[in-house]
Amino acid sequence: MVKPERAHVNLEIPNEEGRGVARYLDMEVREVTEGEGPVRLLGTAHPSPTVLDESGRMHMGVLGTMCDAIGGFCGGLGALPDGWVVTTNMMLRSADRPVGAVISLESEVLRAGRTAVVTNVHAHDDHGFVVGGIVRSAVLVPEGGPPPFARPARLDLAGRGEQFLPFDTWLDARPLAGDTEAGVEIELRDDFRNPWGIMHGGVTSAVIDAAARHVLGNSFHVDDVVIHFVAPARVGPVVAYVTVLGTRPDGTVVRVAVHDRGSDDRTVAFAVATVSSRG
Amino acid sequence: MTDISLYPPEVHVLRDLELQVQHARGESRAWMPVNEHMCNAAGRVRPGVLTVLIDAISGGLAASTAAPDWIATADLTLHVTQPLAAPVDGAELEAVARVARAGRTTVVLETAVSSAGVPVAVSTLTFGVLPRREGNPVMPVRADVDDADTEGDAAGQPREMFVGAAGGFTQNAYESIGFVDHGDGNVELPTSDYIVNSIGGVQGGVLGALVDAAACSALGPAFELVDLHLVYLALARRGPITTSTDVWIAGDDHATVSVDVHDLGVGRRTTVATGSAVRW
Repeated sequence: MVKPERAHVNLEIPNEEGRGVARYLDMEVREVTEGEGPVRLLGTAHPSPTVLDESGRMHMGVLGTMCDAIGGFCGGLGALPDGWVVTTNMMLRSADRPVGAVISLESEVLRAGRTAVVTNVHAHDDHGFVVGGIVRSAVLVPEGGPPPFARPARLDLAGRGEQFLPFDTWLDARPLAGDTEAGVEIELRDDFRNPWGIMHGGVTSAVIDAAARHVLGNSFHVDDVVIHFVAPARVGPVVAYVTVLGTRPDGTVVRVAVHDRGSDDRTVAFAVATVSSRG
Repeated sequence: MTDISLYPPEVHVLRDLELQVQHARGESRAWMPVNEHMCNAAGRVRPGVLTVLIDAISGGLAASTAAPDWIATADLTLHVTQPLAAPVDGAELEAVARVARAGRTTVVLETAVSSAGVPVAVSTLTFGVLPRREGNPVMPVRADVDDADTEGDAAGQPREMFVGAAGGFTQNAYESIGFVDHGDGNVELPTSDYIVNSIGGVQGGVLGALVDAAACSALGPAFELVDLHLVYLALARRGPITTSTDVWIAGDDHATVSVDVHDLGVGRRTTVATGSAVRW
């Protein structure tokens, strides 16, 4: 369990220079919880060209970041007043098609327990389903208490589409060189860290997505992914190894193991993904 | 405390699987003979039979890992990597479960399924660790559990019956479980001792089979479920248990569905799931 070092966290900009992964989302979320009912959020996101590929699709790296942001925020509100949350696993599916200019988001707490919170996430545009699934989080008790939020809560990541680098360029995932296994590697830059100082879950999903597409082809699209976060990445470089498990009519199933080389090469996350060959 | 030998009852889905198992610290293996009653009309093993197998062997490993505390399945995912053709000439499916993370509040496992040495599916599972309560089963003490030399290698241990076998499925497995398909993804599951788990709810793998049945009901028999995400929110205990299904993507050769499982007896949603299906 990772405990934050600060009682008051800035969820909008995860580092002092505001260059973090959340900046790509251009997203607003507002709480619409009814009475004593489960925490419920609605939001909108405006995908900028930097997060779209040449076909107008959003890849799972960005979609996973979006789901982690709204699902994690929803889970955190569900854990209040006792604690806050860190994401432990995400189970997501997405549509392999261009996305519209506006994506509508919903998230709701499905279960809030003493040690874990489960939220769903569903996103759609004018053409229907975009991405959806489940974000599961562990409840932790930060020293000094959980972050303060006025209720109903808001998460404002709007107007940050000024990040001009394409998302994949910003991530700067490099093919592994000299390794017997296929995959990619990134440095653990400061702008990849979340408020707790460890690698952001969205960056983890991005490096998994980048690794899968590196091995299978950049025109491919991760339609389905299950990510288990098993330890924090603190040092880097962070390496994602890809193993092809099988091929089906709808794509290829891969396993991706993410390691923190600077922390005794320990496993920080693993994922199983179905990568579409329709793209 | 209840001895685990009292579970499952005499007539139970786990007995019909006829599993043989090997255990070591950090790894368990199971072998399951396959007959036609476990397969669909195309002769492929039903994904829901796999989820019962996976939950059974993985749950035992998770319980051993969390001991003396107890566990409950929190989520289960399944990715089919090859068509699940039934093994020929009495061959078996083999499942190997390994601990990926053992924490204070959760145990995470990966379980791989193969047929004649060929990988056919992979599963990940999260188990919530529950404080031990009176009535929780006691995991049998195995000589290998405390033997560091056997950590992570169950292969050197003797095979044993998982639970006493009852002769295997003698009719369609989904009919044995009791699914009633009302169409459009609405499938009903009456509760019974046949499908109960060790803490009084419907066995988690059976709920995977229920979601598979709901997906088939919504999409039609030409589609077969290949990816499945299941999240357990509460025990499905009283019944009847029913499903509601939304089709998120309906393509010519693939489809995506969302399935909610409700326990009508207590008026709550117990499980949420999504699945992808293909035409093989």
